[in-house]
Amino acid sequence: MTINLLLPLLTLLLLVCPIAGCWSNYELEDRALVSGVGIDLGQNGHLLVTTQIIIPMFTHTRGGATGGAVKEPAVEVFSAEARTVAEAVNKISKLCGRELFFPHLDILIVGEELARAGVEPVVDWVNRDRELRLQTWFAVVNGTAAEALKVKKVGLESITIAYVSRILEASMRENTRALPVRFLDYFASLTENVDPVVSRIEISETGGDKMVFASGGSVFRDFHLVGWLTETETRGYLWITDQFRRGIISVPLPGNGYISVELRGNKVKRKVEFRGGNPVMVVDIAVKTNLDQVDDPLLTLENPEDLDALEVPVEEKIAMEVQASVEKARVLEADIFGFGQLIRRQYPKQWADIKDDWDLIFPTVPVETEVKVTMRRTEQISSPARPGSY
Amino acid sequence: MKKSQALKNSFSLVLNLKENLAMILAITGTPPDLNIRTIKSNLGLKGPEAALLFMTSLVDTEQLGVFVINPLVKAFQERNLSGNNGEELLKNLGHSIITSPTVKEEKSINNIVKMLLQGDSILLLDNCDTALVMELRAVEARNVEEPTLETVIRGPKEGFTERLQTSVALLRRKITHPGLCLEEMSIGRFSQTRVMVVYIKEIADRGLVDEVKKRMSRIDIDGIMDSGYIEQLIEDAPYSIFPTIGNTEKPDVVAARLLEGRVAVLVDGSPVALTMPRTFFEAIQTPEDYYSRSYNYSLVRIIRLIFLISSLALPGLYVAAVNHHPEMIPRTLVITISAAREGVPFPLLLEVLLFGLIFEGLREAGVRLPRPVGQAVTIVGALIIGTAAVDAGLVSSSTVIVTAFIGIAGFITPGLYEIFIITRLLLLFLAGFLGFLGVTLGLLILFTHMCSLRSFGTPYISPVSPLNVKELKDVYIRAPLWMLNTRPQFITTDNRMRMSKDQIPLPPDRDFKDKDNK
Amino acid sequence: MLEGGKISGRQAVYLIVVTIFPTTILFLPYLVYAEARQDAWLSILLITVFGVMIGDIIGRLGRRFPEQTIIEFSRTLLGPVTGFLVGLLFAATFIYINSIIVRQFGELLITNFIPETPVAVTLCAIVLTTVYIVRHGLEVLSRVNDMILPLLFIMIFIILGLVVPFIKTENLMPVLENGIVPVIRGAVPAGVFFTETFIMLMLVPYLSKPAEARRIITRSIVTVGFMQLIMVLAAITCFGAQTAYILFPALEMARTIRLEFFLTNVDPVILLVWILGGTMKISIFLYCSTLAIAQLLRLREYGWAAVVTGIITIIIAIVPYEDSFSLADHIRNVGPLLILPIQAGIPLLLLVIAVITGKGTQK
Repeated sequence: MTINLLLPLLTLLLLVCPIAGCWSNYELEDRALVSGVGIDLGQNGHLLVTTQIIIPMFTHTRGGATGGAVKEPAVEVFSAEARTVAEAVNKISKLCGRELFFPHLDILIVGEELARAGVEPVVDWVNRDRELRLQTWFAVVNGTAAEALKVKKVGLESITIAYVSRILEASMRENTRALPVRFLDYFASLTENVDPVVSRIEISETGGDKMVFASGGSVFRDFHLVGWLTETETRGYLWITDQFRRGIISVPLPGNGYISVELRGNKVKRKVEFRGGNPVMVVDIAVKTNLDQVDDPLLTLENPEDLDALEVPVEEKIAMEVQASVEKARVLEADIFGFGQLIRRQYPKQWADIKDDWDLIFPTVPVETEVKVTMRRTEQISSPARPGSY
Repeated sequence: MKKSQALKNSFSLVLNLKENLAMILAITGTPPDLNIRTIKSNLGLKGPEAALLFMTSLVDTEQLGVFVINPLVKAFQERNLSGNNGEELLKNLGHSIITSPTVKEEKSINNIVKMLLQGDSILLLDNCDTALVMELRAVEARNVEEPTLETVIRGPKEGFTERLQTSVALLRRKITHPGLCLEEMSIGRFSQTRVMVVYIKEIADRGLVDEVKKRMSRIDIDGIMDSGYIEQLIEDAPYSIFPTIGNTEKPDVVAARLLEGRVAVLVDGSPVALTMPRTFFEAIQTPEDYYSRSYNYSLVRIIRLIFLISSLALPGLYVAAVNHHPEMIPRTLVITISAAREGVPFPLLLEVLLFGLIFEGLREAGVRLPRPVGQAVTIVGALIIGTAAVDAGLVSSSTVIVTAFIGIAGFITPGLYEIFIITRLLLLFLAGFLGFLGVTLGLLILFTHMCSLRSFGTPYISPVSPLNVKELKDVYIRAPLWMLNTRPQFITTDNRMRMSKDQIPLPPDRDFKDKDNK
Repeated sequence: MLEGGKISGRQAVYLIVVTIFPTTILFLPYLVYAEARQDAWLSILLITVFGVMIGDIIGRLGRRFPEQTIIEFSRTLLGPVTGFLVGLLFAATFIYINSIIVRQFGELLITNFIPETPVAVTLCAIVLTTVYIVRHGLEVLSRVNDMILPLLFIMIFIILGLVVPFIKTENLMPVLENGIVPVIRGAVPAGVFFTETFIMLMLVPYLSKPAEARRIITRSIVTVGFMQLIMVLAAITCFGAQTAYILFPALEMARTIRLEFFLTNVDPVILLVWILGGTMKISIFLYCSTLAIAQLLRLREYGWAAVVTGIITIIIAIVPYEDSFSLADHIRNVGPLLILPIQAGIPLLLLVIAVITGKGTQK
């Protein structure tokens, strides 16, 4: 009994004593927490990897003599060029003197040039490295990733790139401008033979200061960037793929006015119909909306019919967005909506016949959109306020 | 050995008083507090002669005077003594003269000496080979107070005292059924400490009672200073860091455990009663759980369990998470910890170790020192360690928080405090060595060790293992009292119903209410 | 008697479940999906039925020889020499399977969590712990398991509950896209796991009611099959075609879960519970191999046999494989061919011989 207890404990402890602190044991201050990674095409086919690293130290103190020091993390950007991402990461480790640590990575940005050339090296690295999470945002920037990561101060964040990921995070809940895509989604599309769409980041310059923000989406065919989606097309894409959760759109009214409506409680049904041997996509969208703002002095809302009348322009607007995205997909010849997959699931036999020619067939597949909008509330007031209405 | 002892015990009184006295004095010597009060009738040499032996230090002399000496002297003087021989005279004295509440007859000299030294008064009569024993001991004991360790907000607040009689009284008042059995033993070659094995005949497992008595009778030691001695001499796993015998200072706890079918041991001179068998999860049960309604205390049980696990594994998990797996810590927290660690000269493992050491030192100092000084130590320690060390950059604030948390957690389950100091260290080293793998393997070794333990036949961590889902009603939660209608299966197998099945309170009939309204 | 302890029927069920479950939960979705695609769940159903059938054979053997382990009754059945050889074969199989499990386990830990720790150290730490458990005997082993299996199940249910929002049922379509053949091919790699009930050949004499052996095995297999079905369904509906690329779906699921403001990545916690389960599995196999060796050599107690068996296991786990790739290759291509006939075939053969010769207790 005694020896039973002591034997393994002693052996384990004996093993521990001489070697504690070795192997995978890193002190936290020996690690560099990476918040953002950018990968660009460098020279001679090399990759330029840029990392934004969090410095967890006091950058400034607020509060005055009584103390009340506020810790504010700031970031430092390091770049290195190498044939592979892993090698470049190693070089950066040498540059900053600490082991790079990726699990807290927010976002991985690929420069446009590299994206067009193909992101295979990035994809393999992300898949293979145990420290990288599939929950990391995946975005393409309309310039170089290095530039995007070097932007000094944006939004309210001290970790600059966290701003972009916050926008994407918000887009998960409310879809207005940007397309939030994680690596997980990218791989899911890739493995299911759907042409992937990933987030897009835009760099703009206002008065000498560079700004980054997330806007629209980037369309891939396999590993290659083939084009962008505008914000309108992004929304259309979200409608068709049933990812639109909530959002506000502004719709012009006949005449000169505008209304803004909040969309929520969407139901999207997608199905394939074979008409004369050719597939036709049918997308049924049912939306519930609230009237958020009216910018039309002439509009009166007095009975239910008035409200119903407002539904029509909203329906038209949504149908327009959907058609815009379909048009773009046709132009780019990228089946970003997963129509092929839909056919495979519903009509496996027919799919077997057409799958080899799908790239050619896809642009010709008609997409029928049926939108039904229900206006539910007008919020606090009915008609807009105007002078002398009483 | 046994034979000679038997011989010694049979060594009994003779008819001659002088010889008897000489024999007793031969054993006891002539200690200054041994008093021999001789009582003679004034009939000259023919009259009966008596000697009263008592220890002045142990006997309530006032009572002795009132109950024994006074009536005796009066009787001897008034010559209303009857009896043909010494034997009869002694009986008469005991029956009708002496007014002391307890009067016993005794023949064995050894027993007489034993009782004398325990504080009884002995009356020897000439021409008589029997002695009368009167128990009139001086009571110099603490009052019944609230135990300092096991305080409750709701529920009985009395605690056992050092005096066995008081403790027994407290227990008897809880359980008045004749089934309450008290079996006295005396243990300790020199201390001759009185020890009571207590159980309820109708409930307790006979085998368990026999086992307890068997282990107790095995004890051969010079003296018993506290029930702790007994605990350490009869426990199941002497090499284990886990205690396999429960202890409490509260009579209500002992009574409740007796009603569950356990056996208790009360020791004279110790306010701490032992109860057995003990299971691990007793550590998260307090008497108060059962005195208040069940919802709150079910929640408290879970809180205790969380703190119990933290107390056990938190330092290990902290080191494993920060040094091996920072990926599982949210980013903001990682940044905070990292900023705090920046500039700390020690590796994390060493930091946690050092700080834990300082904490334990402070705790020990606080306990041992006189109370006012102890408080000062704690305050100074808290200030210096908590604030100055962090400000000076010697320790990171997150380590301070972790250590403080463990401290709190440790106090939530006081019964396991000492154990967890050891297991914590083990897990800490393993965490530094193999990260979460190390912690897990350490926990597994600990689990295995706990699973291999038994306390008087009961598996130590029952009912969790061997799993008995029905009995879990009093482990992770505290089910309503009317659901706890059976005694724990792992303690007693027969006579398990502790209340009838339909004890759930029902609302009154409609008639009752109507009557009320009229 | 080498082993004095007795275990209840419920504890035996728990032991079998913990023998099969920790590995299947990690590796099976990937292995099965590779062949059967979105019909992987059908493969699981199929293999459960197969597992019940094999379990029945083992149960029948157990009923014929309720007081003997396979090491002992193969002697009664086949005579001292052949019986000894069959016993030796089984002892070797236990050690061999255990070595593969240990190595696989170690590889998983190293690639995912402790990348810089040497294989040997990791394996030694694990096997030493199991040696410690085994030396306490079967009773303590199953009591430890009583604590750990519920933890494992609670963890699984929490993961499953949290991945519900990620589920897309259309990933299951179309059913039987390429006919029944891929479903059967997908069931083959699962066969090795679902016939691991053969550990009962060593445990039947230590059941408090050996007659229940058949029911115990059936119940465990159905439990495991059911849990596995849920896991595979969750993996397919959650990851779709990606399941083919994800080696450890349960782990990936855990990573998918993000508990904001609490823990960003809960996988080390999952790992913690899972190591507990995996170590239990290794303990059980180590126990079986130790007992088998002790019975073969007619030892009086198996305390030191456990240590020696543990060391042998470590050596066999480390030496033959150069890298994780050769291990994976071995597991996929060589292992099943070696193990399956022994796990399923020999018990069947022994049962047939027992029926023909009429040895063992009838009825």
